[in-house]
Amino acid sequence: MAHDEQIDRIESALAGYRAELDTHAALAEAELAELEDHFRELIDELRAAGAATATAIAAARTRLGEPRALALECARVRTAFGARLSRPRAWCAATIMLLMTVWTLGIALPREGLVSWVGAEIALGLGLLLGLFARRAWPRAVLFGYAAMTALACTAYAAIWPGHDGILVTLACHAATAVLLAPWRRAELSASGWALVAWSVAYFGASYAVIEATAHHGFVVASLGIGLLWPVLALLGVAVSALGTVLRARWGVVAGFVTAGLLAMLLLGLASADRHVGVRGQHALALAMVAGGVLAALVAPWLALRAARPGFGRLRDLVYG
Amino acid sequence: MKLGKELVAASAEPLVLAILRGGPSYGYAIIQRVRQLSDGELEWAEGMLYPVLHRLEHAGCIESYEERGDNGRLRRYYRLKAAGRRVLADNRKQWGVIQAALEKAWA
Repeated sequence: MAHDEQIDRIESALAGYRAELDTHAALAEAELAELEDHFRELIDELRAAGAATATAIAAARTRLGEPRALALECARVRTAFGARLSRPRAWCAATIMLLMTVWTLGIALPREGLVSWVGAEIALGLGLLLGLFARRAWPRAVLFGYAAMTALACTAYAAIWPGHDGILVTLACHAATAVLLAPWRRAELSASGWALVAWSVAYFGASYAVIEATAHHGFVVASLGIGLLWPVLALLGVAVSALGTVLRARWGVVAGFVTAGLLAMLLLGLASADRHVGVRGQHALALAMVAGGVLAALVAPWLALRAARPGFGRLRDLVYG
Repeated sequence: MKLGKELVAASAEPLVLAILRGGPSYGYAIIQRVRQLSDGELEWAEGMLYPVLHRLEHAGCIESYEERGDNGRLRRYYRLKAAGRRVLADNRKQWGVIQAALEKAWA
């Protein structure tokens, strides 16, 4: 067999093995590259010992291991979004969040109803908690961002409205959750995992833009004439971009940059609005949150870019990632 | 000689730590060293080394970094950390106790 044909055959076998691994579990790009490199070295070793190319490829595949078993074993320890959290940490954090969710349900649902924005957020939250109980890596990343930002917001609220026990309890619970879910060691969260943390921060920014729009009774960006629709679109844009990050799809990166632009526009509008309603400091807090959201929405697509692939993405990554 | 699965699994982490004590290395080279040290008796399903490496990294015993290998490609290397050295020392004591007990039992 000509030299070029042999090289092509080897490259094809490597690409095929890598694709098989990727089919069976959501592994990080670096993990796939590492296994491919090992496969390559095995083939080279066997060919150097005199084996024909086809024999070397088959023997190397046997020595490295069947892709399904190997991919599942690797994913038990680390996925594309980072390391799997230990059971005690995951369940402790999930239990605290579940108690907070039940408390919120009791207060907010009778007022807002099940079919409401609050109802939708609670439903999403329960889905994420299920993922956290199952020690999935991507819900961990999202909930870490959410808990950290909630703790930060509660700290600001405690300063604006001192003496509210409810705020202090919420702060304590979310701070504890954030500590449990935080990456205690380097590489606990991958770049895609950090992108999801950033999307959680951006979600807060977009949420505050919606709150400010509602508080200002039809918020208008002085130079652009934009109403409540755009903050809601920014919120949806964050959710869609985060979904794209979980699916590791390129369209998620594009949606991310568009969302960042939208949030930046809203920040300009908020900054130029001169109608201050509500408690002193509330507008400054909203501005800070939206500004943080803009930064996060700019960073998240860059972090997600390396792992992003063409196509819609695999829905199974939502379940197994 | 066919070795029991549980024995191979139990010895995996101590072996990897001991090999990395000799200096940073990467997956394929670690497997070759295992084969060398055991005179070919220890045959691992080579890909299964990587979950072991990731667990050790997650536990803070080792850390990984990327560097150009001999083939010019970017390759992930692993090196032992201070915590890993402590675990290695502990492993030596534990395996020493087991070895001593077995030798007395078989005498």
